[in-house]
Amino acid sequence: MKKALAVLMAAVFCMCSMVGCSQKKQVTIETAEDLNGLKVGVQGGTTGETWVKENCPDTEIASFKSGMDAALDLKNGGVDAVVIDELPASQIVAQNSDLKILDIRFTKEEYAIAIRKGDTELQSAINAAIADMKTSGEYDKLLAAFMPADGEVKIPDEYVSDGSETIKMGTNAAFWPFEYTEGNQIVGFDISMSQYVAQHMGKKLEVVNMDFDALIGAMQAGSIDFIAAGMSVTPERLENVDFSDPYYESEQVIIVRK
Amino acid sequence: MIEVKGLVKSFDGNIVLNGISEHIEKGEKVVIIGPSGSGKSTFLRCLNLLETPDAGEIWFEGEQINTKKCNINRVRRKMGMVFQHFNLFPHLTVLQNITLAPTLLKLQGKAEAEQNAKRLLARIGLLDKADTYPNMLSGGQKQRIAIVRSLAMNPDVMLFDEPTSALDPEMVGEVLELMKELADDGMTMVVVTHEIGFAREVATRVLFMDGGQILEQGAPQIFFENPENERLRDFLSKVL
Amino acid sequence: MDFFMDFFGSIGAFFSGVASDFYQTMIKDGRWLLVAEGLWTTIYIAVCAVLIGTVIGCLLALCKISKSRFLRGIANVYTTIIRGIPLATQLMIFYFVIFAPMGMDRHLVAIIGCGINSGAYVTEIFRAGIQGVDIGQTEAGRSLGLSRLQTMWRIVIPQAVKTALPTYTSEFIALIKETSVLSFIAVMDLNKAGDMIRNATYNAWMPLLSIAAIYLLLTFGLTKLFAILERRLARSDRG
Repeated sequence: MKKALAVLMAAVFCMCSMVGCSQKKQVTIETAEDLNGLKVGVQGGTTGETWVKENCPDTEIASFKSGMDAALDLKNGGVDAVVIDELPASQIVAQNSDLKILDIRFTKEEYAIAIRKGDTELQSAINAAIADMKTSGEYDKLLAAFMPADGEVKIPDEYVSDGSETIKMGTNAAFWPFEYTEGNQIVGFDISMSQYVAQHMGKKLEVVNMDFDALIGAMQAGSIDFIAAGMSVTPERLENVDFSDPYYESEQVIIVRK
Repeated sequence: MIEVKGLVKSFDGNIVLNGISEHIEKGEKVVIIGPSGSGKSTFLRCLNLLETPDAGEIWFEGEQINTKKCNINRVRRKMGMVFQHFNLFPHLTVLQNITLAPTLLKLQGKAEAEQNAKRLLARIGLLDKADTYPNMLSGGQKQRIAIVRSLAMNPDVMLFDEPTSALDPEMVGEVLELMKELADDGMTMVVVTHEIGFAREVATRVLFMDGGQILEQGAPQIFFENPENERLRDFLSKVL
Repeated sequence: MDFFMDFFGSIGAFFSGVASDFYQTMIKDGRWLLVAEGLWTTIYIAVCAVLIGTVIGCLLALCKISKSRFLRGIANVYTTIIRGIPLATQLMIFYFVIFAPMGMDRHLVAIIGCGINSGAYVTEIFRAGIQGVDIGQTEAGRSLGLSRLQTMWRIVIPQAVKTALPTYTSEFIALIKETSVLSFIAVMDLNKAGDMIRNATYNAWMPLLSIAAIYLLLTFGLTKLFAILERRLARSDRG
């Protein structure tokens, strides 16, 4: 009885001492290396996470299901900074006046469509579709629609295909403006682009939404055919999947509290 | 010693005790008989407030016990109760069953309580069972230990609620024998039972209950030889 | 002969493939450290949570069987709400809505969240255990002059514990498995450690199967351990 009480009190004491150890502190970050020693939020499985792990070994990484969760935790003071791709970052900052993007750029990366290793047939079909999209001007139309100068996104008409065969595209609809939900629809640059690709191949597109860090496994297991999820080409990923020609150039940015 | 005035008790609108008044003197051995559902067990359970009466008064040793002011736990120490289903504590040994209440209530020290318990066990011939658990005993042994558990509190009165009804026939005798010994020692006893033989032999007074009332009472010789009440006659003709 | 050579050759290739996969995913770059860290997180959060859950469960079970309608009401509202919402949703509410704005650490929120969740289930287990003890036991205790509290503590609870123990231990084991949703609030538990290895190596099956094996070992071991404990406690029931 006394022992149980002692254990209980010790537990309560431990917990009390843990409270209040995460106060919202003002951080100054001038270079990306300043992230060392801070708590940094990322989305699980993104290049942002990999980059922080490799370049700032002393950071305490909190790996969330979506960039938005990480940003929410930043607002709440759970982390000191969030590392995320620039376009979703600009959306997050636009919606949260107490957050800002730091003027530091540290990695350039290219988004491409991922396919199963060795699936050269699909790879060349996708590459042909992307090339065609660029020459026909549809690519610029999509860019203008999803990344307009005035910030007013206008979702373009769906590229409809009357093919009988279905091709499955995996994505993680929490990455504005490449894939996100509008009402009960998943929309975004990657979605429209994939519709175009499917149409080009004469197939119907089926969009499968899942956690970002589950995408590659799902494709290897065969439950999706390709991934269009603002996925950057990295050497580690190239060991396990093949990529199409890149279709967008992006950067990682750092968000902090104002 | 026990004084009951106008006792009323009902369960979900069914009146079980319908205005009972009774007086039990020190040293009396009162046996209550009656058909099942007559309220005799409820009456007994009201005496130590296991059931709270809806109306009426219960007095024990000059104190009204069914009031908020009364410390019922203190009163119950002086009223031993024996149940139909023994209700020994299965997680305690026989010895612990007997010593639990006296030591917990600081009436006796541990050594004193154990010595007392062993003396009582020796008296019923079960000293060798002191360290076994109740589940290893026969029904008769269990009930005798339950009686001894109550005796360890040195009660002024013992209440028995159909103490032999759950026993195999061959075990009834040993329990009744122990109860007779208690009676011979001068213990005040209130016994609800179907054992007419026990009532004849031991009781100083027999009560017949039916429909929540005491319909007839008297010394056993008169009670059994010349029953006046119609329903008592009917009842006796069935059980005798 | 050639057939056998091929057959054993391919088996050999399979096992050497497994071994190299295992090396790549679990050993290289000290990735097993990640698993060890995740395992430790899972265990200490589950243990702390079950302690909190037990305290809550004891108090609320007593509320549930009390005579006070108010206390019963509180306990009923608690168990209804907590048992009616999935743990993942609760954790996110506890973290993002309630505790993080107060500046509380994620691990602490995980412990409290799982503890509050477990408390609701433990309440029902204890209540069922207490109510499963024959009313005659209470009557015997009270008629010996013991108070309500003494009767509860010395007579009813020891017996209730014995009957409730098997469901209580399986609740603890269920809790260990349920902590796998902690990654929703970015706590790196065992499951998340597996995720991170998957993300680093893009090998799905080896980390998943390894993590599954660890969970299985953990729960199986605990099941056996608790079974021994139960047998000890059941000693007095022999006969």
